[in-house]
Amino acid sequence: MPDNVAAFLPIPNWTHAALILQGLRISVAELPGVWLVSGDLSAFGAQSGVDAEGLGALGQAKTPGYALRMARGRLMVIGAAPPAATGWHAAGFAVSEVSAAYRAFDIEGSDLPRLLARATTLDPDHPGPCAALPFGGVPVALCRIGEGLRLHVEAPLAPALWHWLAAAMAPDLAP
Amino acid sequence: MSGQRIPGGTEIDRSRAIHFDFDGQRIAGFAGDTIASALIAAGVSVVGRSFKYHRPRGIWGWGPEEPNAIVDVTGDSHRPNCRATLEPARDGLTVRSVNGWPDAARDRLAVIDRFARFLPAGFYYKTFLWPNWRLFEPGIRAMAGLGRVRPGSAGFAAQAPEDARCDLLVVGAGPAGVLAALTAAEAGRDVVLVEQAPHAGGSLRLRQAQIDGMDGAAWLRAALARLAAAGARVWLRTCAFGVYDHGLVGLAQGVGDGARLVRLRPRQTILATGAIERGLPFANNDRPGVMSAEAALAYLRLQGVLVGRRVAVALASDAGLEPAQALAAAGAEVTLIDARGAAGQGALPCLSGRIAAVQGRDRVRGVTLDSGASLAVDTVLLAGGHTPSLHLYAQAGGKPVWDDRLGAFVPGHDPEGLSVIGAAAGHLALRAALTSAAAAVQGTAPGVPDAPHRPSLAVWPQPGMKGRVWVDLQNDVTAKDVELAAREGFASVEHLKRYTTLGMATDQGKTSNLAGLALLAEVTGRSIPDTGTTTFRPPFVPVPLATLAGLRAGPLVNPLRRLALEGEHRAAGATLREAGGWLRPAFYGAAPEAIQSEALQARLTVALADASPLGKIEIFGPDAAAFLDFVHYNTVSTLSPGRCRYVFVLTEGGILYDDGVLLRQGEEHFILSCSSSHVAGMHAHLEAWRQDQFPQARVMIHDTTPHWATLTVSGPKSRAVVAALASGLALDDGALPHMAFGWGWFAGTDLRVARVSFTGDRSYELSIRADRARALWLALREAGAPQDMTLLGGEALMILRVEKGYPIVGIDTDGATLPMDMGMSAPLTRKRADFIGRRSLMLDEAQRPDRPQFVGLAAEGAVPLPTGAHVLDLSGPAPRSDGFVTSSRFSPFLRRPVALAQLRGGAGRLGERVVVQHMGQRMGAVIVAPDQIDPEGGRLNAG
Amino acid sequence: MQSFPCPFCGPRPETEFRHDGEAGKLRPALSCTDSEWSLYLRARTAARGPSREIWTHLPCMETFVLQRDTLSHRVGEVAP
Repeated sequence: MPDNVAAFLPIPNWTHAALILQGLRISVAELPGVWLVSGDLSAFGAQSGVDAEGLGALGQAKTPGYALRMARGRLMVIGAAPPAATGWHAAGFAVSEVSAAYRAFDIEGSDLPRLLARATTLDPDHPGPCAALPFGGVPVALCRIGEGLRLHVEAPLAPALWHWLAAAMAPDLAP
Repeated sequence: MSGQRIPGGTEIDRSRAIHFDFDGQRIAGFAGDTIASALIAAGVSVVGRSFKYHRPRGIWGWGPEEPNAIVDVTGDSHRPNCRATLEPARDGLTVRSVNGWPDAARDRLAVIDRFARFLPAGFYYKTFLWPNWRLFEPGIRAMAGLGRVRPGSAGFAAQAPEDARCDLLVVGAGPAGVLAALTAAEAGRDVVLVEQAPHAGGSLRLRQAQIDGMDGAAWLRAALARLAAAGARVWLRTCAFGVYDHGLVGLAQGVGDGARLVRLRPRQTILATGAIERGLPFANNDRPGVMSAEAALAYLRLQGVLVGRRVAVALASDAGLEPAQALAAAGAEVTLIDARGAAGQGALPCLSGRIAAVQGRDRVRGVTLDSGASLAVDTVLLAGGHTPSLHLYAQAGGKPVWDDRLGAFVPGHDPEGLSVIGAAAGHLALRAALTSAAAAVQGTAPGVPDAPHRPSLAVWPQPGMKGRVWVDLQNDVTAKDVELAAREGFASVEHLKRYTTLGMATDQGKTSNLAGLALLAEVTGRSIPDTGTTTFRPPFVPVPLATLAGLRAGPLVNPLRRLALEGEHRAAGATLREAGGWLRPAFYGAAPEAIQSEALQARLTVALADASPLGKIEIFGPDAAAFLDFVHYNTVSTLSPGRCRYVFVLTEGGILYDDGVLLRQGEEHFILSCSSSHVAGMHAHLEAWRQDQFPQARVMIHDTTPHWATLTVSGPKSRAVVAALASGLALDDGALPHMAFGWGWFAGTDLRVARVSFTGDRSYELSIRADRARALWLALREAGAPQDMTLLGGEALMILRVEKGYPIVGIDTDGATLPMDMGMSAPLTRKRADFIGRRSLMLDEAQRPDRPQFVGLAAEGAVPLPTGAHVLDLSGPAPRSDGFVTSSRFSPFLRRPVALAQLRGGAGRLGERVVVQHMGQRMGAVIVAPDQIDPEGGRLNAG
Repeated sequence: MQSFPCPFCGPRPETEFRHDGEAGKLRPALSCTDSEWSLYLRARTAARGPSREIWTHLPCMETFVLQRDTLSHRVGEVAP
């Protein structure tokens, strides 16, 4: 195992963490519960009442519960209660709980377009139906919430993304 | 050169004086100077030494085409190999010339030029060979290169790359580019106009013009204001350095000392990249004081710098007239030398003919013409014509065609979505340039008075010219080198380039490629178009690697996964290291003692390890069992719910891809615990085969790895520790045997308890949702205290698994290892279903009896065998390798070294003594079974 | 940097995709000859010009067939 301890940046204290940058404010959001659903999404939607279309990358999420479209046949459902029992459903879909797997960052401010330009290759006019994309080099699920953006990132990669945000959106030097 | 500062200069601010250091000399300048203009104004004539011959060199040009004035610049950052013509002069900079020792003015290696005849192109293929090239190599390497890297000095601040889009991209803000961008923007299109210089204008910055009744500068100002009003994005200090697939354009946008990478996807691109002035061929045309006429005009008009007092202007093109007249008006004594014949140019004295040679060494002292006449001058300006810049056009797939009238390549057909206007398209006169720009965007050209001019003459180096005639200044390539290359059979223009290095320097032949290929054409009896150009490749100008890397440096070079319990590990004194993409505890306390004591204590009582990175991929569905039977080497459909099985996954070539433990939760629900470093790969592998071979509606795959934390409790006392959690799960071996799992309860949530061992001792893997892991960790530590429980880091875990002979795929296996090599042959004979890789296991190669096989090695002596050491076959005349050591550690429990190896026919050679060799040293060892600690397996259930 | 059309997500940069070989190769049955199996594993048409290729878009894991020209890099139809 290579020894490069000096290169590691510390994990932020998530309870207090906030990044105030030029034109952006980034804070940690509490996610109620998170489930992955794969398979026949309309059957799932009919059974659970969740909108099986799911939000795409710049779709507007409504609290407290929303669903993100992660693939043709996969949803990430965020809400306080399980949308269905975990496991295989004979109607043709599977449900797994992943509530501890994700951390969410809420980002507001006037510099959001520049953040998207640096973090993604997304065309803001044509974001597409899928919420899953690489953001600052890390896979995330992205949506809009309120006036800002919400990133859902796998918890082990959350510190790396946080450090990237701080570096990428640091105030610009004078040209 | 006798450069000096005079009144004037549209781009300097005389109220802001600055000073910088050049090779120990204090240079005064103003804001708006480049380093080059300030040096010329200060009377500096030698700014560098040529690459090969160490000849003194002065400044040639005023932009990115500059071949000579390469300097190392240290300000807030240190940047080697900058072009002095592009670098803004800033207060407090330290600027160093390159390739001169101690500096360019006093270079002691200048003596090399006396041996020039022994150092033609390609000399290194024929010399310095005897007795051994390697004796000369360090010395030659020390002399190669230009600037100096300074490790430890600050680079420029890292900038995150940006993505951008637009409808129309216009490259180059000269008159043609500005008109095209303006017309399109006012027609409502989303336009980006980029310009690599700090000011827009192109030729309008330095040449007089009349456009629509206004002077050029006024027209430009008005046009830029209209562009801003129309909402166009105008990016100065931004160089379009490459056109890539699907029209992507790479931009380097100047920020501070460095640049940000911008990846722009335009729907349409218009190139207005202009044309670069050529020199002329004559003996010693590389002397300080020989420069581009256009550059002299730029220094005069932009920075108020007169490059010389007694100036010869050698013309093959009318483009040289305005520089000559401007310098004369500023007080220089100017003589024209026209290669097309004197034709009464007006007030300036004009000689007919060409320059044959330049006199002077560190500065020009005079010229001799081919007529025999001579002139005493201190500066020679060359106006050899213009070469359209077609680099981006060619990168986009365009094929240049030869224009005999211009003596240059111009664009041929337009590639899709791209067109070329202005001087870059061969329209060198302003009126024609503006007309071409208007046509490209369906606009109208402004009025420009007709300017009659004499046609240019293309003056190429000729075979057999007297004296040393330079073609490529930066790489020191002369006309004779081009002739030599042709004589030696390197007649293709691509071979000419590589043999002579013409066009391979940082200027990429901007002022030399055409002259070189024209001479090659002449020497080989072909036309210039038949000789052709070399391939144009990005980047157009050097782009720092730091710009391309963006933020991916230092701690951000690769996103690393962090454990939920990292705080606990740090608090316990762990040293953390990268392993398999995660930051994990290697050991707790001080190495190497901590590692040995952890590994020993784990076998004596009990150990606690964080195994959270282990994969947890869930597979669901009615076809899940059949799917997993297909994906795995082993049969898994026979696994009962509540049981685990150790499984291999193979590639279609039969090679071991990953190992893991499969748990069956229910009829239609499995959990694959794959190795930590292969989770993403296994997930992708499973998904790919699911979509390929199985009805997608009947198999579902979820990677839930980050949701779970897994803590391993291992050792003879492990059951007691787990029992102390009071999880509600029965822990007697009848209820929970080895390789079984069940569910309990802890801190209000589900706790999965699996009896899986990576150490060879009784072992429990406890999995809980990651946000409750800390409570479990603390509870286990408390429960373990009375049992002398030790924390177990990655290094100690490695010792335990090597003792037990448990392999790690990728360490004990390689790209050729088959499952039978690891001793697992049963599925091949017993499993009926097809699986990935099965057919490959039936090939002759897979059945060979002498294949490398997985064995253990007991070293003789106390020192562990080096990993990678070869086991020798000494039966023949020379020693051969029979295999190699894959893992090796010192075992505190056995008090001797233990190792694992891949050895030819190893399974049948247990007990044999072998010789192991590494870096010339030989050691003895005995071949044993891989499990050196507990071959009966009793420890799995002990305690 | 090419731009490929994921049939579900839409156009995305090529770095988000993994190449999975040429389309149209059928996995032979276990009864095939050694030579047939070896060709399946290793032989490629390596088309000069129009080619049909299998690609996977990694963020959504969708595998699909893409028509692509290996010379001009032009991208054509997509079949999931």
